[in-house]
Amino acid sequence: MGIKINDQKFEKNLEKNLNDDFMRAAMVKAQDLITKNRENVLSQLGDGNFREWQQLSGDIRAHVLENLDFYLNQFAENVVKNGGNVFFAKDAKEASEYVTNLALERGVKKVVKAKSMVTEEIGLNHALMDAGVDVKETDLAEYILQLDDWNPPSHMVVPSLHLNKTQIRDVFAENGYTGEDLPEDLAAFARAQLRNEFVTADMGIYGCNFAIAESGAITLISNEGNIDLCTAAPELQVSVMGMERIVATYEDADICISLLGRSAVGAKNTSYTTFVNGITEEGAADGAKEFHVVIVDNGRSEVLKSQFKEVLQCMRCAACLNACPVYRQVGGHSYNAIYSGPLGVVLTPLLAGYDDFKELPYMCSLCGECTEVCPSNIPLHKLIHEHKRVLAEEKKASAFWGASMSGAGMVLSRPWMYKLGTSMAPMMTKPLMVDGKIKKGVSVLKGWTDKRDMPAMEKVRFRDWYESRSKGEKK
Amino acid sequence: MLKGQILNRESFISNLSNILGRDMPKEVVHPEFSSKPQLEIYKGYTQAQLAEEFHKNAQVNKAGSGGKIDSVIIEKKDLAKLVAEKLAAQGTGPIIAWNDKRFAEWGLNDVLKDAYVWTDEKGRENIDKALNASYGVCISDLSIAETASYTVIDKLGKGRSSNFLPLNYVCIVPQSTIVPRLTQGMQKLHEMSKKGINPAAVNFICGSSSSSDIELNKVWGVHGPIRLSYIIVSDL
Repeated sequence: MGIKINDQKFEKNLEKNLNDDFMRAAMVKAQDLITKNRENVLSQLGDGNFREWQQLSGDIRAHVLENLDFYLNQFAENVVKNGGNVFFAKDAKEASEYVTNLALERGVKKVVKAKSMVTEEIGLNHALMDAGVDVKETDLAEYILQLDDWNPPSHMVVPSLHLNKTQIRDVFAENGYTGEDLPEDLAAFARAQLRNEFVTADMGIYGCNFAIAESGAITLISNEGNIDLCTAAPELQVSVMGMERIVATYEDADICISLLGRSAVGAKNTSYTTFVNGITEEGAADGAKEFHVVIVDNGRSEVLKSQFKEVLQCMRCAACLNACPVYRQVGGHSYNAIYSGPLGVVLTPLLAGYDDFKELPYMCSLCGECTEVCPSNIPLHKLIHEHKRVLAEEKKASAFWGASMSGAGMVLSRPWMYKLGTSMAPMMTKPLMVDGKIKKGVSVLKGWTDKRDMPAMEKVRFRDWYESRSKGEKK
Repeated sequence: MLKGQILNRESFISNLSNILGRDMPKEVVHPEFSSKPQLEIYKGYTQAQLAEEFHKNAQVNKAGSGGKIDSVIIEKKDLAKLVAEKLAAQGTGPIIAWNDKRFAEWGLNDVLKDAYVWTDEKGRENIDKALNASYGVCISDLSIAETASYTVIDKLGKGRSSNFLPLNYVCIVPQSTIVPRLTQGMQKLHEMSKKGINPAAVNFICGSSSSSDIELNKVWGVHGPIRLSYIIVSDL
C-alpha cells in the first residue's frame, strides 16, 4: 500500500468522507470513549501527575534520538548475541525486498502477520503477495480490512473504525460466515478461521513498539494475543521497525509502556506485553529458530536533521487522533495516508513529500490539544505551524494562498482600505443572502456555508458601534 | 538457519553520525531521570499487601471483562482443590500444563494426572495439544500488582503455544513473586541482561484476549484464552 492510500484529489477525498455519516459518528464515539477512559486511568497513575510522566517519556525519547547511531549499533550487536540477524534498510523498497527474498529463499508459503504501521508504510503485504506468498493479517481489524479487499486503515489503533458491524458481517459472509452482525459472533468466526493459520504458518511477521538497546529485545504490545501467537509457532520470524522505535534500557521502556496503553486505549495495561529476544532455546518445540530484525529509515534520517525531528519521539499511541477536533469531523481516510490525525499532518509530508500532501497542515486549527495529550511530549501543533510556515514562505505552495495573504496584508496595514473593505462587506455579501443568512458562499466561504449558515454582516461595523457606545451614544 | 548477520550497518550508522554532527560515541552516559514517580507506587508495601492489591486489580479487570477474569487468595493447603475446581469450571476437557516439578511439590499430581505435559522432545505434538486444549495451567514467574499481570519467562518445558492457545487459563500466582509494578519487572530483566541472560520471550499477561475492533464493542477470546483464573497463594 505504501504511505498514500488512494489517488483521489484531496478535496474529492475529503468530500467523500464528509458524506459518510456512519464513519463520522464512529469517530466521535471513539474519541469520546477513549478520551474518557484515558483521563480516568491517567488520573490513577501514581499521584495522577501526567505532566511529570510526559516529561520523563519525552526526555527518554529525545535522548535516544540524540544518540541514535550509538543505540542502534548497540541494539544490533545484542540481537546478534541473541542469535538473530539485522538488516538496515535505507528505504521501503530495500526493506520489503529483504523480507520477500527471505521468504522466497526459505520456501515460505504462508505468513501470519501482526498489525504494524511500518509494514504498511513499506508496502510489505503486497510485495509478499506479488511474490506468491499467502499473507494472513491476524489482528481482528486488519483481518477485516484484508478480507474487504485491503480497505485502508482509518485509525492507528482501531484500523477498521470506519466500518459498521453490518458491513463487516457482509465481508465475512463472502468468506463463509453465515451468522448475524453480532460482534461476539463475528469475532468468534475470525478466531476459528485464524487459529489454525498461526500453527501452520511458515513465517511470522510483526512490528516493534520499542526495541531495547541494552538487550536486543523487541517489545510487542497488544490486547488480542495475535502478536504472541505470531511469535509462538512459526520457525522463521521477522520484526520490522522504524529506526526511531528504540529506547536505551528496560528502565526507559517501563516509562514508555506505562504511558502507551493508557494513552492509546485508556487501559492501565494491554492484555499482553511481550519481550522477544532472538531465537528460542536449543531444543524448544516452538518459538523462532531463525530471527531477523529489519530497521527502516525510509526518510526518517532526513527528518532527524530537520526542525521536525521531535516527531520521531512518537510511540504511535494515537492519543493525538483521539483529541483532535479536525480528525473528529473528517476521519482517518481524509488524510489520504496511513498516518492520520495530527501525527499524520506532521509526519506524512516529511516521509512522502509536500507534493501530494501540501493540504494536510491546513487540517489543523492549532488548538494544541494534540500536544497536551502526547505521551512523548512532542509539540505537535508547533510542528504543524512550522509546516504552514515552510509551505507559505519556502515552498510557495499555493499561489491563491500567497495572493490572499498579500492582499490581506495590504488591506490590514492601510486603515483607510480596512475601513472601506469592512464598510462594504454587507453590500458585497448581499447576493449570497437567503432568508437573512449567508447560505451559498463562494471561494473560501463555500467550505463554511456547505455545512452551516453564516450570520449576515452587520450594517454597523463593530469599531463604529464601540466608538459610539464609548461616547455614551448607546443605541 | 541463519544466525549473526548484520547487513548495511556501516553506511546506515555513519549516515546517522553525520547527521548528528560527530563520530559515533564509544559510550553514552544515560542521563538521570528528572524524577522517578514510578518508584513511589506501592512503595514499602509488604508481600501480603501487594497480594491484596494484585487481587483488587484483578477484580477491576474482572469487571472490565464481563467476568472473564477471576481471582482468589488462598493458602497452599487448598491449592489442589481449587485448581481442580477451576479446571472443571467450563466443563471438562483436555488440559495442557508446563513440565514443572513444582506442580508435584505442591500436591497437584493427582489433579493434573490426565493433563498433557509440554515435552519439547515431542516437537509438533505439543502445539497440536495446545491448540485443542480446553485448559492451560501455569505458574507466574513474576507478578505485577498494579495491573494484575502474570509473567511467563520462556524456558524449555513451558512452550509458548501452551500459554496462548488454550480456551481457558489457570495461573498460580505465588505471593512471593508479586512486585509493585512493571518497574520492578524491568529491573529484573535489566539485571538478567547484565549477566548475559536474555530469555527468548518474556510475556506479561493481564487479561483474557480482547478486541474492540468492531464498532468499539469489547469482545473476548479473539485469539488467546477467553477466560483467566488467578489463584494467588499466600504461603508460596
